[in-house]
Amino acid sequence: MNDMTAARSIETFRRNFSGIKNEIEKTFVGHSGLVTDLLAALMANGHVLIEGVPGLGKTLLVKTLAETLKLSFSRIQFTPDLMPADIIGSTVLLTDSTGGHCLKFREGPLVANFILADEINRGTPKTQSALLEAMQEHQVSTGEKTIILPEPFAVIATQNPIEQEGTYPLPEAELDRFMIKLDIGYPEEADYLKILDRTVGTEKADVKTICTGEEIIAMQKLARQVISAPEVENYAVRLVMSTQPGSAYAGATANENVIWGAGPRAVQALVLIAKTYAILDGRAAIACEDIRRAALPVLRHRLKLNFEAHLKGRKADELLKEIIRNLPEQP
Amino acid sequence: MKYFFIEQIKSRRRQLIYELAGWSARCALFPAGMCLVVLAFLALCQVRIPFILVIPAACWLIAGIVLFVRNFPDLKKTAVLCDQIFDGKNQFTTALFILQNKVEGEFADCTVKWAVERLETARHAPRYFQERRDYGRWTLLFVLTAGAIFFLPQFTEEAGLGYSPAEATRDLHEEISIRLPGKSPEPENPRQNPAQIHSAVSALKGVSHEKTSQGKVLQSPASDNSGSPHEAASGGSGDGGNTRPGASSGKERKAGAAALMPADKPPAGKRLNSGNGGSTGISGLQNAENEESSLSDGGGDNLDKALSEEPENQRKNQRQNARGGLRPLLRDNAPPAGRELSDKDGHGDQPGDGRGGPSGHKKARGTASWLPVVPIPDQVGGKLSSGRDIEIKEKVPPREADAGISEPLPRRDMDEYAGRRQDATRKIRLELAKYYLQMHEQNQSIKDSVL
Repeated sequence: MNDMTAARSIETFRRNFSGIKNEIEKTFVGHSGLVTDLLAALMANGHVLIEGVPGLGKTLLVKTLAETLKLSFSRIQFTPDLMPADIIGSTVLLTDSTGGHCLKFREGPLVANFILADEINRGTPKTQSALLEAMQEHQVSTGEKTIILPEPFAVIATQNPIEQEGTYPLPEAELDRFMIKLDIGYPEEADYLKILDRTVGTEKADVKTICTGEEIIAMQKLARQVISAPEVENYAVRLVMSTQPGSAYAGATANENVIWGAGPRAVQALVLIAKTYAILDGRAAIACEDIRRAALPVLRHRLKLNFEAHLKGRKADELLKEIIRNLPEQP
Repeated sequence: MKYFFIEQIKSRRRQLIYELAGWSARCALFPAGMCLVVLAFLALCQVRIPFILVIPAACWLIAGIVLFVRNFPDLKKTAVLCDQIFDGKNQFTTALFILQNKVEGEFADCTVKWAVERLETARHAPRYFQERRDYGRWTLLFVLTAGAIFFLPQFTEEAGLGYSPAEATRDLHEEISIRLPGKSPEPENPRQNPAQIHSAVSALKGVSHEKTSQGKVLQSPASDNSGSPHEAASGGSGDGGNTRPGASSGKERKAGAAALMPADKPPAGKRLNSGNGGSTGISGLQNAENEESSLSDGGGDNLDKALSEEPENQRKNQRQNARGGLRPLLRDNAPPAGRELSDKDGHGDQPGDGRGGPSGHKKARGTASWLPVVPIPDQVGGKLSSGRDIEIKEKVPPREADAGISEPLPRRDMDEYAGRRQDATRKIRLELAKYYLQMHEQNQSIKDSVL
């Protein structure tokens, strides 16, 4: 029966997902929910922006993820002198075997499965914009050549919230291309002991490969098969519209604190992430509960707060919780 | 599996309809029934019930029907309610959507199967409308409270326990006609008769007035002065105490009137006025109270004089109050203080003649005027400025006669000018020659070349 096949596929998906998560947690201690959100964004074929103070394991997280999936991994440290050609690649003059010279395009670090853009806000806007096409189209164009990036392709960018001097804040167009934004904080007290056990000793955690790239692609396709009813999609739309000041569903929270809210990409991201959450919950259809669970990571970086909100010290997460609380499931 | 799910949903829908009907009945019929019970009780008490009082009961019946119709569940609403009741996480709604739109696929079948299994296990779920039962209690409380507020005054009025000003006036007229058979009752308009004013005022305060055989108006205290002064002055509709002699029975008033024959003067010091509260707030009433309090000490001899002066005082006080209170009269007819800031010159404040220009030393205005003996002249002598230059330009259209100016002058012969220039040069040469000849008389060749 078809439902048995679907149930089996869902079960396989959940097993692989939990396997990847367990392997990552061997080296990256704590923040279990953060790892789940990261993997959910990966299954939704999206990009992730991680914000946290230095020393919390952001780079380690991405490296471990790449090792678990046995995929190519590139780390790009963004500096103010970084140029777009340094990321994409450039044409170089080479000497061939006959002694002559030829031009050859040398690919940059952007051509990989997982890209860790470390401290992306330190790069110049020109360099940051070099990622736009790669993140949206999964390709890069240079001169006469267009390079298709390998699949699965994900950009995981990090930024430091405290050292803002000499940085270039990401433009709204680029922020909108990140499916989710994760705020990583300090670990719990018990997690510190685990970190010490795993890092200061002589033993090194052995990370196994759980899935290959093809399996990840199959999991992404499976996640897209999850059914979304019109009522749930309507709820996602109303939730996004309630963040836009002046819209029909915007309340006092959005009208008084937000300059502009989320757009259509946010609705797509909500539904895609919710489908992954539904599968993890063992269901074949998404629910409003999945939309609410995905709301904070998806929407927190898409809201532009006004001066009054900054003056009152209101954060995007607080406003989103208020909006979710006041939005009924049924119109 | 799909058919089974639809049947399950329909079964749940029937259950919800039964629950909804019961809830609507509780919300509507119970308060409507209470309204009818109250009406029946009033009918038993032989209270005349206007037809309009039946309308609330009918409104509650209609409200119940409206509640039932508005909340009537269809299949989709039933699925939504099942999601809420059984924590279905929108699976029942999705399964219904899949079946109604014939969505195919593995995940669609899986969703329907999950929904069916969930419905089968949820057999003893709480009733959806059970928590809404409180609506009936609140409506009942509201109906009882509204009924008490609305019905109780009319009920007390019928039983003679309440107070009605119209009845007090009617009773007074009856007494007048009884005691003075030859005299017709006073006209209804109390303003035409000062005595009626007094009686009406006192009636409001609960003091009855009796007329003696001489036509004097006497006041009688309340039949029972045990109440506080303020109670008589207060206008409580629910106060059915004995401190309102105005509405007391006719026998009590007659007894009080007989007690106040001219030979029976009220003892000195006895307060006749039981309504010193003055809560009505009318100045005429206050003056009437003052008059009455003075009368209580002076006896009845000054009563007539005070009563005759009373309307005039009332009118005077009303005029004064219209002007914002009592004001002193201007007996000396002195002119009002002038507002002109001009030098008096011994003539007082004279108004200006309307002509401009400097008018001598004036009073200073502003901050400097605070300082004593600091004269600030109104005009300072100085040099007149030249004023500003006004330049007026006007465009003059060209005239026809000026057109000839633009024509060029006639060309003259250039040789004429050249000849004049050569003549001048020749003269200069001759002069030079003479000069050289004088200087060099010995050289003949030079003389010849020059000539």
